[in-house]
Amino acid sequence: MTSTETRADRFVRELADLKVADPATGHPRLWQRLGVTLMVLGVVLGVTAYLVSHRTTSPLVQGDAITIGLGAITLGVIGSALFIRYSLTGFLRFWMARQSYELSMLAERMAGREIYELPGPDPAPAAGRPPMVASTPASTAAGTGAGSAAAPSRNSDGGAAHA
Amino acid sequence: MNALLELRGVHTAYGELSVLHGVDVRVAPGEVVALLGPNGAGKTTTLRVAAGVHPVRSGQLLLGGRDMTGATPRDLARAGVCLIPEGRGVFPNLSVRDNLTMMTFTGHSRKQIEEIAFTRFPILAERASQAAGTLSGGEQQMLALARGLATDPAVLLLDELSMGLAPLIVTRLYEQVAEIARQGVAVLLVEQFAAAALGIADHAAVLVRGRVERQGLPDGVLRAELSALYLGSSS
Ligand SMILES: Nc1ncnc2c1ncn2[C@@H]1O[C@H](COP(=O)(O)OP(=O)(O)OP(=O)(O)O)[C@@H](O)[C@H]1O
Ligand SMILES: [Mg+2]
Repeated sequence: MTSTETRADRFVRELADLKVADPATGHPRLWQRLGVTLMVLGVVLGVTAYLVSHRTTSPLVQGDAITIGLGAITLGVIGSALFIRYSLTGFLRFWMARQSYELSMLAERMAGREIYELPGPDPAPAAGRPPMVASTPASTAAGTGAGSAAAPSRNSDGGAAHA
Repeated sequence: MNALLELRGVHTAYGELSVLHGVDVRVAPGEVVALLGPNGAGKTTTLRVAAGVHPVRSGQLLLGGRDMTGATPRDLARAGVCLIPEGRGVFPNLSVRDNLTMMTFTGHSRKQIEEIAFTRFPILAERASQAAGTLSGGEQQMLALARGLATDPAVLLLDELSMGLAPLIVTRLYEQVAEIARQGVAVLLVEQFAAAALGIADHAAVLVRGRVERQGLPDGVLRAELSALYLGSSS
């Protein structure tokens, strides 16, 4: 946020750099279907290869069947990769965001910084960190003393507004 | 100045239901445009189109002069289009601080975001550890705005900021919006009750049943027309 020109100009520049995915090709739904199709095709080809090799004694034909079978595996792998890429990523993204958030929370707690918790509907864990830890010097929580200097006003503030 | 955001002849629909019938709106950098109109006029839909959330049937969405029709909301958000939706755009169970922390996905650090937010809305600093759902309505809108600002928007889309708030609070919120616009952000805001919005708008448009019935300077004529619209003929 510097001057008027900068943000607007940067906006225009970034838009120019942006590749607008053709809404038709960018559809994850399509890719997902392609993935499923490929997986099914892989299975079908595998079975076909088995039948082909089963019905002949010619090693040449059996060699072809092996090749078909390998192709089937390849298709299956590509298909499942596509499927996973376009189906699970949405879900995994949130999962990862959640994980990393919880990790950073944990890190902060271990660093002894205060984490404020509202007296919410769920009872605070008894041993971990009592919600009003900062205002009660007799708190049993270990290692929360360091960062609590700024806490009392906030806690009482929040409590007052809440009550 | 060239428009940063422009809708050109936008038609759109929800399934069979046609909602917008050729809407034209332009917002230049630093400009505040107020889009007014009665319930169901298609104001929210217009914002959703501008943010890329809702697809257009025909017509164009131009950003910075470039045709961005069909771009994903994600791309637009990355580039700097920020939609603050109707209602309170906060996570009620998370604290104010956590609500802000979530915006670190934009690449700004938590510190930067809190600095932006707390400088503009000091009350949020006092409430930092309070669950957002327990804030007053006005404070929640401040938090929603602060979250929007954390994305460093170039285009800010505001949907009924004033909903359910006392006039004084609304006036204060809009002062902040005007301040944001002064920094070069293009602001398109939607309101049903016009007074506060018209106070800061450079330009106003009246949307009725999916059509821009009138646009121009937010002068007395427009005000008169609006009151006629709400109190008189419509519905
Ligand atoms: N998800 C949806 N599915 C179907 N119809 C919808 C949907 N959202 C909105 N509509 C319809 O589209 C029309 C315009 O809705 P929109 O929300 O844009 O109005 P609005 O101007 O924002 O109204 P309000 O002032 O009440 O918020 C309405 O008739 C509404 O019923
Ligand atoms: Mg609406």
